[in-house]
Amino acid sequence: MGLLFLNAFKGLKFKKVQMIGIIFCIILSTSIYTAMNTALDRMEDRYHNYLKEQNVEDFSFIPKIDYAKDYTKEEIEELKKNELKDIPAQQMNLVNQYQMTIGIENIPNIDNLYKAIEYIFNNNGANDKKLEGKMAETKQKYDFNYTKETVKVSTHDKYLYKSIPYTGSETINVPYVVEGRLPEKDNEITVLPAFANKNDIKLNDKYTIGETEYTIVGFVNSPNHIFPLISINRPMYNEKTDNIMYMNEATFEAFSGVKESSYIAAFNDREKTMEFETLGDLFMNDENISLNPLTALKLLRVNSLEAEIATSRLFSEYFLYLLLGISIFVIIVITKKRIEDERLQIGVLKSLGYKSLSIAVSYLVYPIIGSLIGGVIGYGIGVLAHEPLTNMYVSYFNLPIEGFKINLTYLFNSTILPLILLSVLAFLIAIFMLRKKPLQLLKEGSNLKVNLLSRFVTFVTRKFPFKTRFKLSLASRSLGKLAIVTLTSFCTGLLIVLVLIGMNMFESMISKTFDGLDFKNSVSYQAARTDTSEVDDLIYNTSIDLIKVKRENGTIEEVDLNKKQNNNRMMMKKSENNEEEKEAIKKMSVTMNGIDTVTHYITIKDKEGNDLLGKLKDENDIIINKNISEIINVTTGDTLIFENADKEYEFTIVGIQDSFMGNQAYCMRNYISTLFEDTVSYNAKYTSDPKYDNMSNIPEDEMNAITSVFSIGDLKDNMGNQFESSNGAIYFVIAFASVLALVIILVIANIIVEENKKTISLMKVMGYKNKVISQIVLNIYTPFVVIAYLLSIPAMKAILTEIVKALTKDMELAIPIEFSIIKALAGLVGLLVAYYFAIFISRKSLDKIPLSIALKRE
Amino acid sequence: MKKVIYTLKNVMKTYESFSEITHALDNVSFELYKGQVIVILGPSGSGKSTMLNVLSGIDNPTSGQIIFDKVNIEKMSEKELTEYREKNLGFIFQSYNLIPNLTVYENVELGSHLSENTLDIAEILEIVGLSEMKHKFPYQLSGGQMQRVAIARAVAKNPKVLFCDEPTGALDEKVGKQTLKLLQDINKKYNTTVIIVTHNPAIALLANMVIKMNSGKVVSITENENTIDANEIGWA
Repeated sequence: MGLLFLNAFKGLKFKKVQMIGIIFCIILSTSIYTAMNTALDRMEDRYHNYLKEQNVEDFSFIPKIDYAKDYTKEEIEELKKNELKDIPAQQMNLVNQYQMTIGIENIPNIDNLYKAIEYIFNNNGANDKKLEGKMAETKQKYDFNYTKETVKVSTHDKYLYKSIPYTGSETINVPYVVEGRLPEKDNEITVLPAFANKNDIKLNDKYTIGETEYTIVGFVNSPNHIFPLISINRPMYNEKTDNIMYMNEATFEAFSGVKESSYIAAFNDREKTMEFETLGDLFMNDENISLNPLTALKLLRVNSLEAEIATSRLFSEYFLYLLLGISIFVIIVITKKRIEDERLQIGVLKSLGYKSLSIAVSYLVYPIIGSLIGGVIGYGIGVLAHEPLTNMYVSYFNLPIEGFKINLTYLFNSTILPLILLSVLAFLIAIFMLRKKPLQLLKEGSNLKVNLLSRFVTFVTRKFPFKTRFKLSLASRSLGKLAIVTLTSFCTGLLIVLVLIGMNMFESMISKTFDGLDFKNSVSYQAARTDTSEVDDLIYNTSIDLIKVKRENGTIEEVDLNKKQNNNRMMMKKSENNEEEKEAIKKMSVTMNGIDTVTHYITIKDKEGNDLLGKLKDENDIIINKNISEIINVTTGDTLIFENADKEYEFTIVGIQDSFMGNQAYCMRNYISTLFEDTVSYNAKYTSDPKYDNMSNIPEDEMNAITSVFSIGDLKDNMGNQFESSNGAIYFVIAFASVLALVIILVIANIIVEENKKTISLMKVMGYKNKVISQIVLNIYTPFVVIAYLLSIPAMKAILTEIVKALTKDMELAIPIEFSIIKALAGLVGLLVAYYFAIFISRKSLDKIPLSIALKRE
Repeated sequence: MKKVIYTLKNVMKTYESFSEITHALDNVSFELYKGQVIVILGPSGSGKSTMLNVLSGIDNPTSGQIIFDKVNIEKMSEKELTEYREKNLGFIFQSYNLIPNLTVYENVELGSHLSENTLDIAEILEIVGLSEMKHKFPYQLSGGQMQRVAIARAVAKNPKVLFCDEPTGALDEKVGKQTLKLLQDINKKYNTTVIIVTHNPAIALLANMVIKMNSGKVVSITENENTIDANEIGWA
């Protein structure tokens, strides 16, 4: 057996290309597997402890204050003298209004006033005492501690800042100092370590925001911002421009930005973690608190790393298996071919008395050498490469990391696992092929039998030109090689189509999202305002329940929704037995946008691109978006009946907007605002006024009235920049896919040349030119490559459609999956370039085949 | 009037290995005539295969001249030699060398595809007696049938010269004679020059010219006025 093995080992030098191909596949798969998992280990090992040590919040809640009942006029008076004494006049007016409503029932549109009051009270700590009384029991019941968190968000030039006051007595979301210290004096701040790195900031540097100069005293991570999603204006974190700063209370007070307050809580049992929906169920019927919907966003900042780790590990494992799968195929083909070539020697060995087992073992030289060399080198490369990968993760996820530790599992999976898999399969194939008796192997022509596919192809292609028939017959001769080439082309095609659709999807999403949005900022206010503007688009929006539909023929139907279509997540229930629950799904919460018919920025278009604004002529006219029209199956001409504070309002549909974002409706602003505010007013605007680009430019009294500034420009730039920077990754994936295809096809082409040496030599002797021989012997898989790629297009589209469906089933948005013919052709060209390049390289070995082989006598 | 097709003048083919020099062809000179059946006879190692190689352009002589149809082929480049073989020569091998995945018809087509002046494949198959087997694959044929396919393939391109390297080496007497008869018939029908390399002296009887070789040298050249039918030859 040793001699046979040695013979096989010596024969390796004639199979260089094939061995290099196998080793390359194993190196690629094991290096990526090792690098990713090692990098993820460093993050994951620290992650859970970090959450416990810094006591990261588990949820955010809203105190259930019944503004109709919980406050007396005297209590409001007290608040006006204390917590609310410094609020701006406009806010004080609202408080006075509220004070007057106490004790009066059925005031129309009172909810809007309560919302404004809630905002003012929460932001100024006016609810704190009321809450304390309610919270004692609640805290004990659910075993958590809570605190109030107040932050400010501000934009200056291209930078986005979140400032957090540091008191030194934080018990939840305790900041983590990476370098330096936390602020003590006025105008001392800390920055994120990633921000400092990208902006080349050092400790004790001066840093100016607006007109204030700060001293940077520390690089500090905010533990509840592992993924620092600071503002929905910028959903893609940019470590260069997005920053979180800690500062003392005085500096915080002086800092100009949009204030946000919320109550945050952490369970005392630090092992306890809950999903958003579980939390929602937990507090659904609580008397004192309800889950703040922003909890979803806040949890995302903390938990997105876990999802990233899980998906990355999954990816690395599947990638390992995919490439090992390809290597297995190649090994099988090589083993089969060798046995076929050596059938005479094998026949002789068997006649001499050698058993199939000992002969088969000698063919293990390929998988053993390939997996040992490839696995060890791949592991080594993976260990070396994990550091830059870790740094990349850490720049995106703000988290301290552990040092490198050797994980023997990865070494095992990189070497022993491929060794076992490849060896076992190669051995089984060899045993199967060696089952023939010695005489069968020795019999001349025993290797000439033609498979069923080949015969079928011959039959079907009888009318084809000679060269085509020749190529197809060669291609169909070996199902194994055909399968490998087709599978490789299909997988490469999937990758190429994925990135091309991804690029298109992103572009398409951006353009559809921002189509018609020419303004720079969307500003929302706490309460309705009555001033006018010649340059901005003023909007009055309110949430209103759609309860009935009146068809054109006069029939009235109640709205009856499937629960997943309900806009209010808090109404999503598992059980449908509760009467209250049944009631909840018999209305649709709609955002009614009151707009003017002459606008500067707002365009509302139907599917054909026709402008719909001109159709709003009467005060009862309404335009709805496609989401609403499809859910409740309404069309132009139908009448919608809404309810607010026990009053019903009818609107007739005059147009359907081609948009799936939320449940949006549009009517005339002067009508809807007068209905609810008794005067023509607005509570939001679309503007291009540059003062909203920098918070410090907004006058203080206006700033205090603003609830949010949503920068379209920022969002578009943010998404556009991330799209550009991800282009590099996209091109890398395409290049990677093409290189992989190139290597695999090169190995196969090399096998084809070897397998057809005699035919090639014969054709040279007969007088065929090398170029022609190459065309009809090497270039045989082109139709299969093309077909495999074409099949990968609908396959990937179907996969992506399902993925997007799963991802967006609870969201009210549609992500287009489009794939243009030009991109399809570009992808095909990329794949064919790799294919023809592999053929071109193989041609060198074809040219070297001597004519004398044809003259050899067997 | 006999027309010369090949002229060899002082052709040498020398191999050097480990300071040992072997003259595979040693100062060979002769002429071959068009339309004849020529047998190159000799034992193993006599240089007959080397002779076939240099005549057919598969190998280059170390020195000397080989003139084919008034053209020196010893100085030709690889490309020119390929063209020379493409346009003028056909080959038949001892081990048939059929393409296993092509049918009988397609194997013959492999040869005809090279020629602009090709013979009709159906006619060729008729001549070799394989019309009814045209859709069969090589693994479905006997040795003799495979050799006939090889002959058909070589003849289909309508070559000027047909080189046969031990064409009956793997065949029994009966089938071997049938094969030789076929070559004779082709020679007569198409006036193709047939050059047979063999160690079997019986085959020499059907040749118009017999070149005997030994140790790289031409020992004798005999012209045979009275050739016999392949079916009548004895068998070695």
